[in-house]
Amino acid sequence: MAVRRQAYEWRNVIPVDGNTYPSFVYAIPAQTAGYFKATYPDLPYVIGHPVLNCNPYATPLANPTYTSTAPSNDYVERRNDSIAVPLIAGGMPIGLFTGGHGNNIKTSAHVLDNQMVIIDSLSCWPPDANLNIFVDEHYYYDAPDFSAINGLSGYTVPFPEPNYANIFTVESFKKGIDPPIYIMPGSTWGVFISFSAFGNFINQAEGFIFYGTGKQTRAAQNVRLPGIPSAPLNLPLPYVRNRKPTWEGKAEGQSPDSPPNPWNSPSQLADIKSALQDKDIARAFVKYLLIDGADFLVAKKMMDIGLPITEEGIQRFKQDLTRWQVRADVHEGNIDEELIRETGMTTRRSALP
Amino acid sequence: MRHLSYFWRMGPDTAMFQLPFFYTGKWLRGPDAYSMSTGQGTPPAPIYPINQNILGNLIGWDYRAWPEPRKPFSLFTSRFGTAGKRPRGVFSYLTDGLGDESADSFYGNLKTVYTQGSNIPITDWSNKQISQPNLVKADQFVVFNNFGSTPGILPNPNLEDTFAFYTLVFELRVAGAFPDLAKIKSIDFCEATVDPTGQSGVLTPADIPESLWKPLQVPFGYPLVKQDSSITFNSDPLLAFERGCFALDDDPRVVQDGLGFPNAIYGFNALLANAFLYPANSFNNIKETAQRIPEGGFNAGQIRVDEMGFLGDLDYSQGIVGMFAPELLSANLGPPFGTYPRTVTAPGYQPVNPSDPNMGDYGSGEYTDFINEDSGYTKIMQVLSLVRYSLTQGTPQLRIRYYDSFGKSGGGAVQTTYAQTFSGVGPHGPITPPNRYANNLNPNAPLEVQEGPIFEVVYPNNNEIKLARNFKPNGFVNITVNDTRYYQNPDMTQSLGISGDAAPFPIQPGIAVPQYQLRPNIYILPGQSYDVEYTVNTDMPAFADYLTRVGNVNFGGDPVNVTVRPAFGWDFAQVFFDYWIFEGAEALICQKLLKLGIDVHPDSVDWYKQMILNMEGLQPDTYERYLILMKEWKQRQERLDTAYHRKRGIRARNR
Repeated sequence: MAVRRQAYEWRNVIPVDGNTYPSFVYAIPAQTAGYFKATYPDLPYVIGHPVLNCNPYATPLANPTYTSTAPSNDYVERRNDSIAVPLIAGGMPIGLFTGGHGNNIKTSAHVLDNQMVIIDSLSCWPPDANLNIFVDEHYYYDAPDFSAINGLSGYTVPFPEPNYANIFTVESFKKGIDPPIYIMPGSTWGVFISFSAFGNFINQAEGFIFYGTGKQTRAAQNVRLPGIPSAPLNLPLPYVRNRKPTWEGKAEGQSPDSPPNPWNSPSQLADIKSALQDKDIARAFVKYLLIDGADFLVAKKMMDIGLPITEEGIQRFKQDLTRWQVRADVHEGNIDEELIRETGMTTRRSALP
Repeated sequence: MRHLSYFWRMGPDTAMFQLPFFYTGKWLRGPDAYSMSTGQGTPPAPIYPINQNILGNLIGWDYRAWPEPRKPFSLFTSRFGTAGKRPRGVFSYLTDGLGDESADSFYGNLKTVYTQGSNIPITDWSNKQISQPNLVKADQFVVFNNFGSTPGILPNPNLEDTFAFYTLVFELRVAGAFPDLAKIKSIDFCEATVDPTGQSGVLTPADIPESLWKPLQVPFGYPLVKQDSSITFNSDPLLAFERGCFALDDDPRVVQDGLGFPNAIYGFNALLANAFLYPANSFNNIKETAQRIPEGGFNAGQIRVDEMGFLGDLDYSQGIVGMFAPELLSANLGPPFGTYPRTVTAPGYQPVNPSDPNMGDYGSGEYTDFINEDSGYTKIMQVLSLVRYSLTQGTPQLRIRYYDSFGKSGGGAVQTTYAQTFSGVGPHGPITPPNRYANNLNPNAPLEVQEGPIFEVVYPNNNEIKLARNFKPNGFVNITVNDTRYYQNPDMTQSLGISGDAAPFPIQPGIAVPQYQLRPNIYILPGQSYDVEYTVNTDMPAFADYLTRVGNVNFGGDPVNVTVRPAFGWDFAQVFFDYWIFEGAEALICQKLLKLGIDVHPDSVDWYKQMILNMEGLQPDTYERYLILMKEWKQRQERLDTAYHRKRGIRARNR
């Protein structure tokens, strides 16, 4: 019986294991100079937030004896080799909970019969990412003509805040989503994130995929595309990251047409992974109230009489109930008038919860 | 009600490094060396020094001090981090402690062991941060307000280029040819930058204010031993070693000091302190972590040459230093590592070929050949290496006060010598050994090099190192009430909690508030216990594994290859939280508010208090009496009205 403030944070970052040649990967390792380029594990997601390794070498200490070969002392350039930011194609909605990228949970979000979820805040990164909520079969964010839309932009609600790009939540969302989004008992809900997709297409004939986010982790050869578990394709430049418009370029003062970061340049992608920073990781943050028990009954009553359910609203409503109770004891006649005026409810005091 | 906060932090508490050279203090370390004099037990056999290997162990890394990733631990009862606890002062209701309670007493005098009458831990790195579980007492009510923790996902540290080792060189001038005539009075250490330009007023080490010097403890008068090349495997190292020359005043083995000339005749070993208890390194830590004699004796396979522990309690005010008397020449590493004579023709420090006839002889201690003002004296030079542990570290200084002769009637005038400190990358020098007057000049050499051997200390990698600090913890905060964790995932599974990015601490500049705030608050009811758990997802032990792999010969590494080193004295993670504690009558109000379903915080408690006070009475039944009176008054009024209207009519009243 409580109102609990919960939150879910999604990050598009996973650990990698240099010893594993996965059966299905988006990138196959290139072995150069005695070490493995980091590759994804079987799939580019993990359940729960992953441990990120400070040992830059993806190869684990399989044989920690004097017979093993010491890694290179080039810590600076290899420090992120055991970490990967999976590539996600632009324009493709990815579920935060079970979408198969970054940290996931095992099953979808389902609201139990004695519960209620109120989503009152969303935020994401990078700014050109977008979030949309679905409840059962409905998307929350629509275009004015009720057509499909990406949703709430990271320029509107960035995460984290403050951030290096000095983008702040717009005024109208500073107190979250108002009114909040109610997820009623028995419903399934989730959040999609999608990334900017200039030239949103996959053209295998030309070998181009435009990626909305993620970091190259392998040489530009030997690519298996998702859904094509056949022999690796030899594609000359298979990964071309979306360049314009892009938030990095703007943040670093470069023109939208030029490569915003060195690592966005396809020819350099493979070797400068050490430049990976927190700001390169796509993220999303969903904040919600989990209401159950007696407070769930209060919330339902508030819905019945048309009051918006917020954390403050529930508190105020319960406080008002107490006040009405006290005043009704003093002067029974006025209570119903005040109650009707404030709530529109015509129920008598004795019927209140 | 009180608005309380708790600030937890953890970070590396030791200088961490891998030694690429031998140091002469590697024998007889730790308490094993305690009972080596007559009457104090059997002398322990030191570790056999032949077949030395520089293993490149990662020294100073305390695996127990770094949390295992993805494993939640308590901020209160785990062994990690500190809450900045201090001993209570005179206002404490606790039982007074025994002994010296001043902060200075925690380190320093070994004989002062701080104890306190209660079981409240007062050291800030003890294995638990609080003395009892967080149990809310019967007359209390706790409202957990908010929290924050260090942000950051990727473990990327700040990497800064600096140099790896300082070199300290000091000379002692001892009367006579028997150095054990003399005695060290004190050894002091400090970190202060000497400014020859005079702007800081500290032109030389002698100008350093006395308050900055901290005495170095010498644990039981460790001997500085110098390896005798004639030693064999089965010989007694205690006899076969040529010893240093000094003993501290309080060395237990020289209680019979003043026996006369020279002490060695009477079986007292000459000593020079070589193992220091540094200001931030407690005796207990030395005792716990110093090298022990391996079981099974001194077989070659069990030699752990440079294994030793300088693990200390976290002390944010003082660094811990690793100071070594390196046996640079005996390193099994080839040039350019070691000490080299240099030619003085060029202003730079150019190592020369050791076979160069100009190099002459040199060593760490030589007689002065009884000429000039040094006639009748022995000069001893010692070269120490000191690990650099932080970019903000001041220049280390060493001050030694000694009697150049000491006999039955005590010592003569106290001599003071200061170490010369070399820093920076590249070779350290020039260093002129005290035997420059010896007949080691090459008469055939050019005149400008005939001043004798001048050498320099050359460290691996040109003495360059990258200090790594500010690794990001990738941490999550969770709150536990009794045995239930507060945060869960949308699929109702356990969650790690709230990340430092969602609820950062400290708050960075910006016009926005953090994304996450704990609204509504969490109530901890009387009888319930609570805990704040922190989960670190950065695998710091993996960094130690990496360094071990790179630098430890047993793992295929080489200590010369170490180019990165974790710095000392930075915060890996910080967690802050604040809460309200309501006690006594206010706790009862909290219970009442809870019963009414109203959020409990100072405002609502005040609000309810005002409501009670508005009743204009403090008796619990006052309000009910008031209600009854009101109703009676109302009925009476109605009766009066009825009577009044009967005579005047309702229209008259309305007027």
